[in-house]
Amino acid sequence: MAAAAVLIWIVVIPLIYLIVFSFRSGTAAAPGDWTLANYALVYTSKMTHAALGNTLIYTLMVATLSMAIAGGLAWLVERTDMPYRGAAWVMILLPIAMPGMLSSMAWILLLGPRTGLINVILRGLLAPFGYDAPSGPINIYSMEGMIFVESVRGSTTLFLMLVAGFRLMDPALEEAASMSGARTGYTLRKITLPLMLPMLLATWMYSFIGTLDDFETPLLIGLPAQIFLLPTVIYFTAYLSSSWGLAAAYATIFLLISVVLVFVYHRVVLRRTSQFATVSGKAYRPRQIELGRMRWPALGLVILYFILAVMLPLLILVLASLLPFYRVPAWDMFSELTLMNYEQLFSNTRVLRAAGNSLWVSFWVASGTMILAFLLAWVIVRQRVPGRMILDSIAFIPHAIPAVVVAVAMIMFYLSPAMQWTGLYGGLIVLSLALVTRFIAFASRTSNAAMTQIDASLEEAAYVSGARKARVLARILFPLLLPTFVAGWIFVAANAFRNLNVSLLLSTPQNELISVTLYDYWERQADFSMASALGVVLVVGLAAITILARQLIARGYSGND
Amino acid sequence: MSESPLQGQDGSGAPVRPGQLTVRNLVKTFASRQETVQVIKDVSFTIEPGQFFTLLGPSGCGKSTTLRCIAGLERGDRAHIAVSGRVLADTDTGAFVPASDRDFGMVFQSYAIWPHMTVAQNVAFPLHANRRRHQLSRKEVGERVEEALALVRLDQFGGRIATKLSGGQQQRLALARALVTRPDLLLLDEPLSNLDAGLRDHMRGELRAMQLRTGVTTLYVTHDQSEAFSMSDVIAVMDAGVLAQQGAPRDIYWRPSTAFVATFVGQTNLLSVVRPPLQAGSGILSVETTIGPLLVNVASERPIGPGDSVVIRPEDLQVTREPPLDGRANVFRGRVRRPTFLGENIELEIEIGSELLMTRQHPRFAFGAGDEVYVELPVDRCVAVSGAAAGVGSHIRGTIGDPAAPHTNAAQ
Repeated sequence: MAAAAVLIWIVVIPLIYLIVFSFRSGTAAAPGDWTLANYALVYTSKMTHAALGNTLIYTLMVATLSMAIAGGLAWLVERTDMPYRGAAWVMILLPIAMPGMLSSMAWILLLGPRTGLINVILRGLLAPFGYDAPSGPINIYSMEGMIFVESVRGSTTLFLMLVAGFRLMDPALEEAASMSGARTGYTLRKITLPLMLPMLLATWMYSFIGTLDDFETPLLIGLPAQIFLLPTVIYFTAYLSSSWGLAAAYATIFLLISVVLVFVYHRVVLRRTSQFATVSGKAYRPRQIELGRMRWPALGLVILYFILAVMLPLLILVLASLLPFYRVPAWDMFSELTLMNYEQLFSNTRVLRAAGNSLWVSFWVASGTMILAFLLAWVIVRQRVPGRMILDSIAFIPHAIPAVVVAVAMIMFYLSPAMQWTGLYGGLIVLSLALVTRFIAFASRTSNAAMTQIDASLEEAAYVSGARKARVLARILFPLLLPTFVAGWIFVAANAFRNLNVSLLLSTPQNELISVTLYDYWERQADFSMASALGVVLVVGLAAITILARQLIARGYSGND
Repeated sequence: MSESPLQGQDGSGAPVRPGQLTVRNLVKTFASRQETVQVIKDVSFTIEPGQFFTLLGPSGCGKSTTLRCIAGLERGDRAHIAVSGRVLADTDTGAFVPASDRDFGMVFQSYAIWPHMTVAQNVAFPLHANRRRHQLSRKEVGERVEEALALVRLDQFGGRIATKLSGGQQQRLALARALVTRPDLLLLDEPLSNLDAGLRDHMRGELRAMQLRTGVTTLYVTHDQSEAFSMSDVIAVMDAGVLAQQGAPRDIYWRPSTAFVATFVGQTNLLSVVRPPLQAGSGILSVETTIGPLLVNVASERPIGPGDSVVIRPEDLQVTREPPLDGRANVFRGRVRRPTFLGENIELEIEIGSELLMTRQHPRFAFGAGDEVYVELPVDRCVAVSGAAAGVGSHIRGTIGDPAAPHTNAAQ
């Protein structure tokens, strides 16, 4: 029951405060009269219309483009005889280690209108043809730029979902078409595509909802370009112009949109997809389509993706981090390369303190989220407690709350007269609670799924052997679920560590996380070299931890056998 | 090879009739990163037109892969496959007709019913996909679909979404789809294994009746011996990538050629051969076994010796309290070890020397443990087979004192 109370405390109450506050004037700390003025302002503001329009274009385009990229890559890897498919897997999955903030930064360094490396090179190449503008030809600070960066980055998760979808399909369905006399193209048109359609739609919508929540690209590229999206409008009104009532109104509207979409996704789209599920027990792999002369060009496409998603961004970041001051790269700069930025990084008290904060927050957020999720899963899946389905729904709500909304709701709640006296606002605890709210939906789904897999009789055998509940939980369930627990822990810890969307809005000088420091170096101090150095350390650290953790998990599994 | 299509492809010059399937020297290897497995090691057989031919074997024996090579869904490493005289795959000439152009009907284990189509659309698909070869008007397509659905008694269901059908109906739908183009050859890959027991028995009869009605040459793959026995004209038992024996169901059961075949189909007693028979040749020979000399049937193509076995089915043993009349051969004294009353019969383990033989007798014989009995192993039921019992599917009794000898190791 304590778990239920925690859940209500971190999910339901802040949302209620958010919604209530959107109908009041004044500040969160000293709310004024009841009013509809916030909504009136939202309704009449030009910014609203622009933001809604931008958000719609951005999410539609990113979802469609990343879907196309991911679909193409998944098809090449799963269903064709493209060479080096093993290496292709790695190349496609590596971008996971790249936080969105860093890809945006890297692409700004590459495609910034004046100093972007690629632009400089292009201007050089185009000069003989009469191109002599001081900037361009490509401008990353545009809607197209944002869409490009996010589509390339967002494809990896979709790739994994699509590969799983491809594998779920019974190969016999296509073989039956062959046996019926259908050639490859006809089978693709009449059997494969129609069968995959619900799954493709579901993946597309998943991508759409995820992009709606995306904050980092709109922040780093959109804000300087004066292109506002819903999340950045909220950040802008709340943080930069301190109109909290207005921000609450925006957040409430954003919340509503997101909840409707997530509801449709789960209750309509996913159910439809499961009706089409065509799982079979046969182990035959589907036949691979022979690409013939196109085999090597196909691999070229994968490599191109790898270059755009990982190699170019990482190279430019490393290069920038080795320059004493960032300037347009040129051939003479190789003499200037220095490790100075890294030395400064490791001796800078602000950076070290932020890193300490980030470690502390990641550890407690991951532990807290996973323990809460497991207790909830136990109640929801196993115990016959009335109201457990309500708990399940509450745990699921955060899935539909955009990160920015979580942050604003937390601010409203902890700055409110009811909570102000605690002095928690601005500290690491509120930040951590906000992050737990952020990740509880993921953790809860994972734990529920894992708990469902474990046969109830394993627990019942322990009860019959005379064990009480606590012992059953500790000695039977926990060891069985440990691999899931560890995997989920690492996922949450890594994501909390690199989180920007919640932590930036809740940041104060006292609770600064490393991601916020990075953003600060980049945006406010415009020290691109230090920001790059910090970014490189972050990527290397995250990659190392992920690999190490994976090996630990693998060992844990074999140890349990 | 440039024979006329009506000449035999095996060079014998025998005329080929429509619906005849020839498979020669089929070899197939699967390579994964860790290992290479030769799942089919040189398999050859011929199915005559209209025959119901069953490939029977344990899982992993290569039977499904054989079928998939014939279907064109796999390519053999070495193969010569021809149907109705038309060469479909020949690794010597490099000829290979893709699955889509072979014009066979096939029923998959999972049925592979397309969930996004109605029942009628599923059946019509092969006619549409094959439009070049089956030049049919829209009306004719409708008639053929009706006809195929009527054949499997699904004519009321044409407009239904295919996945709303029950398991048995889906199975019949898959069959209708396989037959709608009136193929020369019907391939069935364990089609009954996903049905529950009662329905499976029923569908067995339906399937065979359908095959007899349409007269389509049928290749059936299964691991279930009762399916094989009840439906087939010819059974080929496969073991570890080779055809162990091919013959009519009764031959497979009463005249197995190897210990594997004997133990894979039905329960059996296996007695090890101790010495080669005194006389060479075939026919009824006296063979020294672990229970003593036995008169057994030895086939001419298989001389036997130590390492081989003698087979006798449990129901063939004659058990009596009184000694049989003089002049009977293969009579031994034994002691009843473990009588188990099963209702329709009584199962006995009988100790003869150091061997245990299993038998089933009419339940009215009230044998008790320790009873002294006479056991006759009728000469015409004792068959010499090559090889000794081992591995999965064996139903052999162990020797006395062997605690590992399992009483219930019967697979299936």
